[in-house]
Amino acid sequence: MSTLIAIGAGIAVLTGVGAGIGIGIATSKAVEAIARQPEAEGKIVKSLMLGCALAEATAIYGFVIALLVIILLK
Amino acid sequence: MLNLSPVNLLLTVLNLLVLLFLMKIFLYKPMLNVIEKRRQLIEQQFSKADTAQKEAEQLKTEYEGCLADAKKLQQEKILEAQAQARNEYDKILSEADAKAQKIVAEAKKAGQEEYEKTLRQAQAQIAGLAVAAAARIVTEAQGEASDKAAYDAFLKKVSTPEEGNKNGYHV
Amino acid sequence: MEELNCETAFTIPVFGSIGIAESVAVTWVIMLALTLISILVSKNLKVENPGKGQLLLETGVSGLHNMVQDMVGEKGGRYVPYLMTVLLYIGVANIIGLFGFKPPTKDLTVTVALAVMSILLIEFAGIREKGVKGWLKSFAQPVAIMTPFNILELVIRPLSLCMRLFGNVLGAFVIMELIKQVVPAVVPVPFSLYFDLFDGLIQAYVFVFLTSLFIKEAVE
Repeated sequence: MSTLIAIGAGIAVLTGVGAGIGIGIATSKAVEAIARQPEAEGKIVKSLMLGCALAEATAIYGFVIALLVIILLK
Repeated sequence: MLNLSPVNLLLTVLNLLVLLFLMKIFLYKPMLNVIEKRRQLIEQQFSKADTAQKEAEQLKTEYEGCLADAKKLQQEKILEAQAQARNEYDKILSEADAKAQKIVAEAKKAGQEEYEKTLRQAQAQIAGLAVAAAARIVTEAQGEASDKAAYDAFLKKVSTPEEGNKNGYHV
Repeated sequence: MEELNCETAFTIPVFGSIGIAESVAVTWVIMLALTLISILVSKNLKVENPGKGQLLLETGVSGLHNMVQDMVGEKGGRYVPYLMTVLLYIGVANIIGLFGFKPPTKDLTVTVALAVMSILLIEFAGIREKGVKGWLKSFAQPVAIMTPFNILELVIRPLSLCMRLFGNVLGAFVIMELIKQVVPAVVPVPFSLYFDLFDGLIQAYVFVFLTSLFIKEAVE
């Protein structure tokens, strides 16, 4: 049983992949945008922060679900 | 970790509200007060500086007006002085002219008088000499030689009247 | 794993017995510290010839104020003090792990309370700006078919806010505890700088940023 729980938690944490890819793409685009228009850096960084926070949420959800799985099913 | 107790939830909400209250009283209010006061002070100083500048500009224009007036006055004075000087000059010139003319006239007159006097003297002398010569001719008419001598003497006398005078030839 | 548990700090023997969670106790400590520091620093404020410390403080507070004001927009000016307070509180709560306390934001209770207050504030701002009718109409905003999703957002937004903060802080805490178990000295320092300081402050900023964004959206 505990092996299954561990596997489930590990699968739940896989959501981090999506967040990583998403944040990576967003950051690369933001760097490109800043290189093209350095004067708009403030706005770009703000939008990037927002986007990262939203994209990161999925990874956090996965982490929370993994914790729930571990704690509630133990 | 994952258990939610309503009491603690309420307490946390209460904590946050109290913290908001405390922060408002002890941090934001005095801070914003000070900033606002400083802003007002700066604005006040700015307005003060503005009025001071305006005053200074007004003074400047006044001063410039005074300066212009003074310049005009000066110009007038100069013109006046120049006119006066010209008048004076003209006057002096005309006076000098008149004086010079007078002097010239006087000098001319004096010269004329002198001349006339000299002429008269000369005439008188010549007349005297002529009379003397005639008398000598009359008294010493003894031959051509003596005539000639008398004539020479007369001529000599005429050419050097002073010598003649010194020598005692007198009318 | 016993560090993960939020213990009851003490119990008050009224109404049966009320267990005061550790997070609430730490919040009290934070409140006390913030209030004392505020009183101390704002005691000798001078309008003219401010000292270096006062200038720094003023720059910090007005910078924070301007930042939140920018995020929340013109119309949300009245919510700036609350957002600033939340920013201060979450910021201090996230980095208090440096001082040996358990971060209160690691407790789901605190993040849930913060998220609930945020969503209440957002909806209150919407109602205050548009009136009840306008607020109700705003649920069917772009097209009528969006209504269920807009209603769902009432739940999703605070859930997302609360879970983001909770998950981040808990994750950081777990990683820090693991590192401390493996290598108790020196090595945790740079990790602590990242997870406790940087991540904590970023999460505080993100929480306030999202809340003010929603408020801005609600009042416009």
